[in-house]
Amino acid sequence: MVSRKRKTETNLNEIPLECLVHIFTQLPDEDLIKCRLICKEWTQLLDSLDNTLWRSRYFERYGGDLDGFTCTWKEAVMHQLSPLDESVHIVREHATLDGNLPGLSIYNIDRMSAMNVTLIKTESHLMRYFPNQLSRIRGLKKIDLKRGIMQKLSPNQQPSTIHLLHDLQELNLSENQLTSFPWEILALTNLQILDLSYNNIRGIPQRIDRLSSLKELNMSHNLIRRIPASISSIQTISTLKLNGNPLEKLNLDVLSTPNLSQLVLDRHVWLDVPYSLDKVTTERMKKQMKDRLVQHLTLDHDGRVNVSQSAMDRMLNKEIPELEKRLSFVVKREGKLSVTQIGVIVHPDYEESEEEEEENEEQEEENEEQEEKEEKEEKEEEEEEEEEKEEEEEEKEEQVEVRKRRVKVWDKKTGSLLAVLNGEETKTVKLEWFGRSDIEIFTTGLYHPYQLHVVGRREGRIVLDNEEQLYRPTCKMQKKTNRRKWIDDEAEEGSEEEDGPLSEMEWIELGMYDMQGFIDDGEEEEGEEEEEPEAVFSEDDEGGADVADEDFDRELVSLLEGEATHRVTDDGEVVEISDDGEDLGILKNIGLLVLTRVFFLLWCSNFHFLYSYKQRQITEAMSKRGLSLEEKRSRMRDLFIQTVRILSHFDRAERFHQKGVYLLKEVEKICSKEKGIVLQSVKDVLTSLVNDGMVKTDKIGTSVYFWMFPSDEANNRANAIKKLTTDIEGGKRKRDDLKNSISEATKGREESDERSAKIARLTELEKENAELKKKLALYADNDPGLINAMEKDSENYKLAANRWTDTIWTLKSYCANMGVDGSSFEQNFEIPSNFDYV
Amino acid sequence: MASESISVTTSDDQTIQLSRKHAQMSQTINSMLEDSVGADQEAIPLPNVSSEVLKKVIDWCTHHENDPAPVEKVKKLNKKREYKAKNSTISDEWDKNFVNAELRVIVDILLAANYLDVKGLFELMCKHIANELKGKTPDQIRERFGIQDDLTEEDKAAMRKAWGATKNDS
Repeated sequence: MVSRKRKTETNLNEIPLECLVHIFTQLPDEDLIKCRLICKEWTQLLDSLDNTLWRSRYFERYGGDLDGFTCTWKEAVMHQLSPLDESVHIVREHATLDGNLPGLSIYNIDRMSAMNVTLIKTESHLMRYFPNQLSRIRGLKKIDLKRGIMQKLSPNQQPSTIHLLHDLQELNLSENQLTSFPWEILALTNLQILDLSYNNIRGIPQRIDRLSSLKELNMSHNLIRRIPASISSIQTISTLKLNGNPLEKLNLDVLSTPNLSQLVLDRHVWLDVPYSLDKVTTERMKKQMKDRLVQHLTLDHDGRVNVSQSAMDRMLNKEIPELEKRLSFVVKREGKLSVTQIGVIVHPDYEESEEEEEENEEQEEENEEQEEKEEKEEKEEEEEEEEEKEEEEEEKEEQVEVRKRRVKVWDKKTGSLLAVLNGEETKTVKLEWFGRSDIEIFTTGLYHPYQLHVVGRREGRIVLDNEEQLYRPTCKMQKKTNRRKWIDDEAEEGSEEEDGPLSEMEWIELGMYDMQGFIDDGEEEEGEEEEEPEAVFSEDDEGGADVADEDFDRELVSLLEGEATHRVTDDGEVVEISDDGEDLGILKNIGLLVLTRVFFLLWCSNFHFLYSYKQRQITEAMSKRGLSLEEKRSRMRDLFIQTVRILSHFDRAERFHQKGVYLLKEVEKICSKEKGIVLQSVKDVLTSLVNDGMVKTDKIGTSVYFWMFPSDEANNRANAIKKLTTDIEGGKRKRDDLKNSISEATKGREESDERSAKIARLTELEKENAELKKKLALYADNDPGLINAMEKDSENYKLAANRWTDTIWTLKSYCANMGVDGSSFEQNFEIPSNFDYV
Repeated sequence: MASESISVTTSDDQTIQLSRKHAQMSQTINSMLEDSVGADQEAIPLPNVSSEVLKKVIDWCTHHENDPAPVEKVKKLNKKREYKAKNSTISDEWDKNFVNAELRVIVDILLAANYLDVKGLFELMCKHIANELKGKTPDQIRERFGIQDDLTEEDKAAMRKAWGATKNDS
């Protein structure tokens, strides 16, 4: 063997496998990957070793679960293979509650430093604090710890060591629960991108300018009221996102930063700064300004489109291409909708006076046509159907109060009416939902406070701004937002409006929401159009503010404040559309546009309807009478189910305070508050639920807890079904037995003339028989049997009499022998003289 | 257990004397000796080892005869392997020279060490080969060790895809 080997070229493949394994154990993981690519045998060998050797070794190095590990491992290896990118992405799906990333032991940290890890990233995490171990990783450039429950960077007073990460360029702590701006970050002078959006941060520190390399600052959707002027001294800053904040004032100095190219604000803020138009400099910004004009269109409370004359002139003269773009964009959105099965045609529908109504109707139809042209998708059928529906609606409206804005939502594919959006004169918008599909309601960026009533034929669940809420008829739920406070002020007037006539018995009110108003494109739109977000501007316009702009802005401000609803109706008149693009019936488009957007806010977040027609009836009845035990039980059950459902949507960390397990006290509190069950009866109801096995209870420690698993209900019902089915089967069997005996009995007794005749005869004879028996009873005295018996008896009596006579004769002769003569004997015993045998 | 030297017969029919101490470093010979206690002085046949290689092995044994018992050594190594499996540096200078040989000699020694079950030598050879493998591209490895590339392009593509998939995903 050895000799043969010498002749041939030396080949490592001649080494037995166990030796190869041994060699491989000496290799680092990176080299193992390469070895895997050498030949089939090695590949197979390495794959077979996969679980025993390197993977387990990787465990020791990085810790963590297998799934996370394989992913990370593979990625690390891929990076090793490509010499260009030495950084290793650590992707952690889950991290632990105690605030430590698993696998971040000192050893691993060192390893990571050595491996030039530049990015730490989580999809979501459950860390309460920033993991300080991370600051040991030198050279870390990017940290992404979004979607978590982090409230502070470090517990108590200890400072976080995040400032040690000198090389950090990007920090993303969005969608956490930070309550204040983490000041430790200010030490990170190389930081370029800072994302703290969707937190509860109340302010930005003055010293923010210490972040001298900052290019992008995203503070959107926080609770910030003021922007420090020092921001303007950050020379490098180019993007500043401040939308979704209750900003009171925007310091115009902010706009003086030289490189600012993108500033995202809510529209209401934008409108507070009417003169900022002047500040626009770059060509790009100008375009966006034009774009902005379209966004400034709004609805007044009568549902009319309001645009100031000056703004309209501007638009008609200059901004038409932009507007068209906008419109086509809207259409695009709708096209997308139809794909997602919630196809929508929104069409406005106003009613003011009877005269105007006709006009408006015409306009609307035109609008529709326009839309259809643009869409090139719509079918004529739909239009017809729409008109039909309109007529129906008109009928309804006659009974209803006047002055109402409506938006109808149609399913594009089937043409069926999905929902109607009603804007009352108050700031209440009512959505009547006909369809079965889920809706989402999306209110991000809405500026005007509105109450949203949702009424539908079914009970349902709704997600508002991605925040899920369980809907129940009669319970009015209000959206909790960070911005709640400042909404409330404005919204109070319009809140708590009772539903219109449509909420008669046919409808359940599904809930009521604070809405900030209509419209905003939000991020999704931006993505679609590749445009800069709305309300993006920068400083210094070459033109300066012309009067028109001022008017425009002022009017819009007033409109938004709901004061000037009457002012602009004239401007809102319709202009006929011509093909050459001049004198477009812009307003129709605008109305269409705005109303389309109105719908978007209703469409965009999750609106789950859980249907239960029965429940609806119950609840309707409930509102009139008091609650019956059954109702109380069902409500309480809902409470338990509800919480469990929420628990199953773990992704939103903020919902962690929700639990599915209650103490009696808690149940009492919640039920009396939210479910309308009288406090005193809560315990009884709960006990009855426990007795029926619907709610589980147990004593844990000193307190008694109540909870319910959704599956329990199913089990209970399954058991009930089983029991009932067995009952049914038993009944069926009994019935079958009886049927059998019947059929046996009827055998041979089929109806026939002969049979009936015989039966008749039988009854006759029976009657006769009875009569004869009666007669016979009359003759019973003359019965020969009796006479015979009497004769026999008399014979016996005769014999007995003769026997006694014989005895007396014997006695008489004996007495004669004793000296008593016969006559005295007869005298003494009174024996007649003619005494003799019979 | 008398004599101090033991004779073995290699695959090329040469009889070689080696000291008992050296012989006992090989687990294989050791167990053979234990099995044949009393049956004296018959040369032990080693059909898988050539005399040339055996001499090398004896060289190594001579140099390492005073090393701590190989069993302990292995234990330590195992322990190490748990944590730092890829510490494959050869510390001993003599060993470095010893290892500095043609590939086929290395392979032969590895095989012999494996057959004779000389733990230390086996580890050494493995380390050496591992070092050779380290830091080379697959092509270089194939060239160095004369391995036929029997993987098709499809195989490789599939492999890359499977291992790169998560990169794209995440």
